[in-house]
Amino acid sequence: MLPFYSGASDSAPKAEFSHHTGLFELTGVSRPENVSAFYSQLIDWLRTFEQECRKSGKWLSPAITVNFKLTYCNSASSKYIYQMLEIITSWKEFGINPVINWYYDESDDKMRDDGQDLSDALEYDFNYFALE
Amino acid sequence: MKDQKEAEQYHLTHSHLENNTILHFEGIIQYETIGELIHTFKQRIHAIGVQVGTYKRILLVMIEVLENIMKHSEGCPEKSREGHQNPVPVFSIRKSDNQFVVISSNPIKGINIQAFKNQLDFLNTLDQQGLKEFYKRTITNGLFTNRGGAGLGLIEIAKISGNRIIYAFEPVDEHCYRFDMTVTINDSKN
Repeated sequence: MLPFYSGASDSAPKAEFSHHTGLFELTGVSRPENVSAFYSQLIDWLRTFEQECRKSGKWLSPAITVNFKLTYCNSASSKYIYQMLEIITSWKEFGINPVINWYYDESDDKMRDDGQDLSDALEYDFNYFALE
Repeated sequence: MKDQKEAEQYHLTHSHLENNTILHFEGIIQYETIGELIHTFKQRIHAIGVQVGTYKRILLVMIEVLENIMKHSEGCPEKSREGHQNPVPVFSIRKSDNQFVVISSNPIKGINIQAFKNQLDFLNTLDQQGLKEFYKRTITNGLFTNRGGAGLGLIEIAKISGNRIIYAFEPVDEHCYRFDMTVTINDSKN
């Protein structure tokens, strides 16, 4: 299985998911033209990785860190991001505790709130980092 | 379907903003159009010197409103079955004394309006805590429309605005209505 990489565009974030490093990162803006197609490929990758772990009977990655470095995302993207995080946070059953870091511009209270809303919905704590 | 009070509010909102237009667009809204409007909006809003938090709230409402216009206009052809010209989508952002006002108008299929009206009426009854709870229920329900929509757009608009959403549906013919919506966003420096 290969790491996942998709470059940024004006409307879709850069997505880098590597089970080799345990680092999953979304960077940029998120309002893809076909939001379902964009996030389905990420969700499929996560599910495939999870199946690989189940088949081999062990966890196949270093500890997981998820970094969100989004400047804005539309509401449809938020729902797919929630679905991705539902999968990732369920990996506690493998004995790991994924760390979720939410980066936002220090003057952008809305982006901070978006992270808090996702955290509340998942009932899972995020770390927040204000960027100058 | 517009009651008297809302009609008055709607008129007031429009009549007080004649010369404070930041962005105005009339025409078919496609995905590429949204990108172009975002680009223009960013240029103009930076020239005004708005705080980042306010700018982001306007931008996010703008995106959700434009995506709604695109989605609903797709169901209405330029001409109705009876040959009437259906309304052309209109989108504008204006500045009033202490608020930014996002105004939209677009055709919508008659079959869709009751559910839309019910949701808007419900959202207008909720305070911020109620909106947060409804948002949580919706983001966790796992439901998507056949176009990949999340059912979160109007909730997000209501959350960001914090003010009542003013709206009206005007029939064009038995199949198509014109949907007018006004969303206000308080300027955080006021």
